[in-house]
Amino acid sequence: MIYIDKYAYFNRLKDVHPVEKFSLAIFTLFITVASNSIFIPAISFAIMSLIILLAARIPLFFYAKLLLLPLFFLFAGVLSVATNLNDQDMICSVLFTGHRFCVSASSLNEAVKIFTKSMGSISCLYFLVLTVPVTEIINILKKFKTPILFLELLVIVYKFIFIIFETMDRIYISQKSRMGYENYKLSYKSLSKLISSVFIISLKRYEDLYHALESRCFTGDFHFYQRKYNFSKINIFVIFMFDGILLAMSFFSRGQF
Amino acid sequence: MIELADVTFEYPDKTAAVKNLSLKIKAGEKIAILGGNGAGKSSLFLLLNGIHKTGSGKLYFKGQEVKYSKKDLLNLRKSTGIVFQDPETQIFSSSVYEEISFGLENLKYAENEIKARVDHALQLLEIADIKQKPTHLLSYGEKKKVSIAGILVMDPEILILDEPDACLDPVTVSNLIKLLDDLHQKGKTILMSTQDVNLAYSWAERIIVMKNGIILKDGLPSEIFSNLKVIKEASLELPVVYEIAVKLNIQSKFKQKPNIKKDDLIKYIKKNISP
Repeated sequence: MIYIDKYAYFNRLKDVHPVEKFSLAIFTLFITVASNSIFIPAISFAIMSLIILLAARIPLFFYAKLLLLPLFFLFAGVLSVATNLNDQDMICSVLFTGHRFCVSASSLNEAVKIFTKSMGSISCLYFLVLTVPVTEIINILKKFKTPILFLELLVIVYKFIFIIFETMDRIYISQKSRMGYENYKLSYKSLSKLISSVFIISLKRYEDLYHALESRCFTGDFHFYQRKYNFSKINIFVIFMFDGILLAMSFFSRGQF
Repeated sequence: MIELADVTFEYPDKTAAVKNLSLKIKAGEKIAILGGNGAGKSSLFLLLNGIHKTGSGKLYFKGQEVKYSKKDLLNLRKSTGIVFQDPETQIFSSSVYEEISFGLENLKYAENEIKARVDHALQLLEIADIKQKPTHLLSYGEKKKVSIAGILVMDPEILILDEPDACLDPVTVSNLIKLLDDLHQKGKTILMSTQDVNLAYSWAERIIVMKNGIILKDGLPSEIFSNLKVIKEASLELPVVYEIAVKLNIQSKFKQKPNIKKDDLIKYIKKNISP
């Protein structure tokens, strides 16, 4: 989580205009989700992964680990879509706990579709979070006239993720240095203490933070500073070409693949 | 400039953080506040900034009683800037530039004015190179500097620093003290709490010693440290320079107020020892 944020600030594409990266991710995401084929999501997954690895220079191992995260949930979901108890036009079947679980051609097709669609969409979102810092995403949302209350919530939540992580880390180290995690029983005990104190300490941190905000004449609304970026005509052209081709392909290939 | 008259402040659990405290701070003073942990220093600062409301007693700013109305508070907070002890509690924004400009944005300054002031503050603290960095990836020293810059941009008349020397390396501290001296020369009133008696003695023109929410003693550095009873009661030590002068019984040789300079002491000893 913390590493995603670090890469967002220090990747190779950090000087590219965030709106360009944002639109590439979002348009590709929409096309991927809306497409009815296997082919389109596979292309967007491949292209997005290539951009993440080669252009943004995110380490392969790190990206693979990130992909593994949703894969667990995805497999469980896909498995349940692929199998059913109805044995019409089944390809194969498994007898398990007295029930016959069948995989049919159509359900298999459906499962593969969901799988590629999910992987395609995930790669789009990873591209967004790995190359655009949260502050810039907030700036873009502000441009789209997102309610200021929502943005402030986003800012505070973002800030507190770090405060809570840091607090947790410190407590964990101090517990570990005093043998808090030597065996299961102790681990449970220490963990329960850690969880409760993280919240108490974070609450205290919030109070201190609010004092600091107040002392600098805080009146209730945040202002976001925007760094100057330059639009690149080539980038915009490439983004439109890529998404245009993808869109055209998904129109022509409707139902074909 | 700012005055507390017989102020008592209690936390919700009825422990008094500050008891019947009266304090007058004049414009252009350079004050160090000494006192152990829990002496009430931080509470005193929050009172001076109007964050804590005086339970009993009154707060005066430029001769006017602070009534804790929105206008009064804004006026008070604009003129008194607190640099908190832990920069983590103060730094809120995600980028350094945003953090430093925070106070100015709240005061609704024009954009080019904000930019000029932030750049100036970045220069004063020599942190222009981290301007674009996200704040949560800074080192402790950098965070501290950012938190100080965030207050300096607002150009407060009274600058309050809560243990600014805590956890910083000696060079950073001495640079910071130089900066504070520059600001003092330009007419700022500076109030600093510290645990370091040597720093307090060499830097301050007036020292306030606190313990358990009351002021034990308030006076010139030489007055404070000549009162051994107070030093003992507040769990303080004698500053090295002063202690040497006292032990050698030569403190009367140094006429310069308010303290004995280290260089003068060395010069005097060098002149008088036989090699």
